[in-house]
Amino acid sequence: MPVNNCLFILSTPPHGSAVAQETLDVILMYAAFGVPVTLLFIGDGIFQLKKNQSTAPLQLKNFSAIFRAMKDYDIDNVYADESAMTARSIQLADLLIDVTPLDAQRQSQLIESADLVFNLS
Amino acid sequence: MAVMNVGGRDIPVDQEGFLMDLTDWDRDVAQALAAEEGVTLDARHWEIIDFLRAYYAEYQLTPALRILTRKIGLALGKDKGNVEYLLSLFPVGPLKQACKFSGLPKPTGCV
Repeated sequence: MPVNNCLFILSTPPHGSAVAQETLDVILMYAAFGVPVTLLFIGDGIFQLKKNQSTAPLQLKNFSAIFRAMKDYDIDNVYADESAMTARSIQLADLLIDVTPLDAQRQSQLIESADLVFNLS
Repeated sequence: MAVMNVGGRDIPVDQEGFLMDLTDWDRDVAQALAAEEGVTLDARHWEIIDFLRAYYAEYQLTPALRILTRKIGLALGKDKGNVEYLLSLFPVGPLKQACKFSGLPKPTGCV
């Protein structure tokens, strides 16, 4: 079955485990093959998009710059749970890329409309 | 781990010849890495290497080949934005070999 719209739900913080970075690899792989990809950041996943991350104390690579390359991969549909942003006092200006905040109902619609949903946690 | 000698400096490389410490890279190191594989770098190679290094510095990412060819086509001219052109410069594999000479990490995945 051809996958026309693949939704990735990102719910983990960026550096506490390898989940975020590994998921990002999968996302870029799908997009590199021309699969339309949509991203939805929920919960602590929103921290993945924070500007000015510093990974040096953890001796990890700061992969957050990769999000800014997503336009090269034609990944333009990026959404975030607006209540997760509010709960963490995160404004749109705090984020590395343009994000559309969604309420719970519109998130449900997004999930309903996807052909394939990835949710690794 | 192996060691490559470039102009009196010892440069550690992994089994496949990728730099262990990416900050060791300079143009002499690039020529030495290329010479190991029988390639002499000229202006055509350098513009690809410079492009890859700039992209990596900006995004911490080596783009997938499809994306790279598209970006190179936009930046350096359509005649260069294809796999055949890159293969003519980096015959062992456009992404892997170009990354090696550019002093970038080995690309993950196969695309």
